[in-house]
Amino acid sequence: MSISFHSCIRRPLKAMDDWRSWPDFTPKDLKFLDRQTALLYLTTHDLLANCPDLDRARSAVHAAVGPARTDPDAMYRWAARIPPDSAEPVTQAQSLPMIQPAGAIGLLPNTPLSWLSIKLGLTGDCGVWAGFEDAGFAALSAARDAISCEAASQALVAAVSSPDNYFVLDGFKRGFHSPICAPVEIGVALHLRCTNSASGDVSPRINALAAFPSGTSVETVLDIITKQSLCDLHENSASQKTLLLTPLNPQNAIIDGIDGRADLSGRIGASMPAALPLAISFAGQCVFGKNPVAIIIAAPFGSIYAAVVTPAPLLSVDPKSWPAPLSMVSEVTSANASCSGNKQ
Amino acid sequence: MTHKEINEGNYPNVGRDTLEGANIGRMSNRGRFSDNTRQIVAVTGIGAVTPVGATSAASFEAMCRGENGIRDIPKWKDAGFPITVGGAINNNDLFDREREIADAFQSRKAVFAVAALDEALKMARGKTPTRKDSDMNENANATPDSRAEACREGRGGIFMGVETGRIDIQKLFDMFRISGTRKGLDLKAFGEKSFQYLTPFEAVSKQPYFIPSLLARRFGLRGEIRAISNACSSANQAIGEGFRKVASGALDWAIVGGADDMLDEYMAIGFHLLGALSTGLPADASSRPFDAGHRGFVLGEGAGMLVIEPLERALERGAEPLALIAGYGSGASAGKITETSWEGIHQTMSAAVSEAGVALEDIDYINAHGTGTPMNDPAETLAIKHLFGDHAANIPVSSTKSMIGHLIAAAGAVEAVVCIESIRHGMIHPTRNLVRKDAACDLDYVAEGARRKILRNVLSNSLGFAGINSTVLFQRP
Repeated sequence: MSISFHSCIRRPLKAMDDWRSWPDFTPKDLKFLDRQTALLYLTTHDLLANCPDLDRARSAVHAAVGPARTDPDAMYRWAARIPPDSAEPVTQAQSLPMIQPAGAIGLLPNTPLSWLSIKLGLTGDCGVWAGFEDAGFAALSAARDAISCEAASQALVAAVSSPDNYFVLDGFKRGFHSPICAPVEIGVALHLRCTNSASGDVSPRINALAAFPSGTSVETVLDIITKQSLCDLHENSASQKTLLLTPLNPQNAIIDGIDGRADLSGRIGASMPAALPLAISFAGQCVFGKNPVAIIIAAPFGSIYAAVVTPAPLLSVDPKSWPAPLSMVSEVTSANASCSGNKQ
Repeated sequence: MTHKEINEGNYPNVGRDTLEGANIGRMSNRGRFSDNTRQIVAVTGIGAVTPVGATSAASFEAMCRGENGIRDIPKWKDAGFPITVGGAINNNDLFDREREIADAFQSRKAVFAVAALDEALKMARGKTPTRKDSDMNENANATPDSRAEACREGRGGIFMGVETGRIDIQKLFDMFRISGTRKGLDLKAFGEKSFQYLTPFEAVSKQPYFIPSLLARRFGLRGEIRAISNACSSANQAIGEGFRKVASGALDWAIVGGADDMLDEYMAIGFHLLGALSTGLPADASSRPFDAGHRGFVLGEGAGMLVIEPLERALERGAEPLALIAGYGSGASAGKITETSWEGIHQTMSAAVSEAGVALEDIDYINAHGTGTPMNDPAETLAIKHLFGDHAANIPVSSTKSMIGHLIAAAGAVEAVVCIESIRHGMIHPTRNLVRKDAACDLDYVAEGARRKILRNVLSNSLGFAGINSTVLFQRP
């Protein structure tokens, strides 16, 4: 089985007003939404616009998100018992409504996925994976499993990186992440489907997806994803390749010794749960001819995630017309300081 | 040995003698699957910490006696909170044993998870001599590393249902106080000054992936680490995702389960304002699933952990298969953000039964989500009736939450342990506090007390807030 994909990248939200005006949401709905949820919704909405034939009841949807949201100001007012329209503290009983029902719902990270189901009619196999880079890998892996075990005919992976959270900012403040990469707000959605070479599907393929414990050598990672993908990805291989890395741990040895890499996070910032889906999306735009793209991500707490993206077997492009992979990434990412919309 | 044979009851002597010449571990009759490489997945270890017991066995025995684990929370009562009860774990021995974790991470669910996994790994050790087996047999103080020997070889992973942690309410207040003004919170000051109130350990421990990472480190396990956060459905989905990995042959073993500690003021008030929590009843009568007097659910805390692996591997290393996992269904039911729809749980039960390749008449027991909310109980009842038709009346249904409350991200894990214990002992625990059925709840909810029954196939339901549902099908080995 081969998994083909197409993708959509969504720029950061400029302001909450951008999405509050969306007709899909009622004022009551809006009380439950936050930036992460809104960005996830809009990204998936954009992707689905290009998938008119998708069976939304039989397609899996797996979301990768950061820690659950909270509204610090609302929490402060509740803790200090100061109502929004007053400067004077009130009694505890009077302070209770300040937290709002949405406060509890908003603490549960499944709500972004619930909105995809409610507003976009996605009712198939599902999951919400919360964390940093690990969440993006987990969502991809679960989506692939759902297809391979026939629980779904196709799958969507929606991933969002949103630094609007004190746990996320705290992690950066404490140096858990690379000091050279600021967290970035970005959403990415992938549409995965099972395909074969006879299908005429010219979308790029995800031909390997693997996780490794910390300390795994580059050679071992390349060995294993070479076996999975049947593409020779080693340095001395004759086939061309591009390596996309997100060096969240610059001191990690895996970053050393690889030439010709495109340092994704150095260009757009740390995209956390969206990192692997985003790298796959970019790689999908870089694969031409027989040129596979290997992606290796070193996550903050040690795990290493890898994927290989290859072109569709039937796709034939004159190599002279290939854009240089690095400039391609630069081009995308420079537009992507504001991240242009749908790329597919 | 095929699933068909298992389903027909031809499994009296499953053991090493039956292995010869048999295609153990390969499913030749696998429901809707034609892929004969799929593995039969066995549960070889279980562990649980609940408000009624510090181990899986103690918890299940207490549940079969219909014991109550819902207690008054004195600090809430004293503070005049509208919510005054919860499924609290008051086990000082447990916290003393894991004092280092409790103090460093300020995380109750971390303590519960470590204790539950410790029990599960001990149970999963098997009989085949391993490198450290002689040490373990002779040394009651075996290290956590040596207990995990069963999960040392091969590819593995930890799949856990966990939610983002909450900060202690007093600490939260202190964090906000130093950067708050009468007009509200000064976010710039909050970013610059307030984080000093959390230690690095505390900050990290609030992340969902922290708990499975801690377990990996504590027990010396290496492999994939996954944190799934789907509210009430989290643990069931973690079990399901781990099951898929093992069934497909991608992993040789997986540790699956969930842990949660929902008894904090913020969650209590939030759920109360949503109208989801039971109020105005004495602690021991406050959780009343399927009863006409149900008023909502009761928050609880605890953990459940399972060790799963291919049946073939379990038998080869002399481990006892406690139960099989044969089917899993998950789905989102598009409704309203606070709504539970019967169609959603109907869909996941149907998917789990279909994957297992069993007939609807072969389902012998359903461990219901059974929260005790006026919305959940009728919806789940309706889904069971729609799917099973006339057979629904013959299926015993009971709610674990009637005794321990709703453990949210850990609920499915503890209920999975209950299902496995039910299969092992041929015993169904009762639904506590069910005096008079709700008019819309007309199934057999095992109200009279524990019931003996040989169980072949058991369903465990989880209905997540905002319509994220899942069902796991456990089978007698």
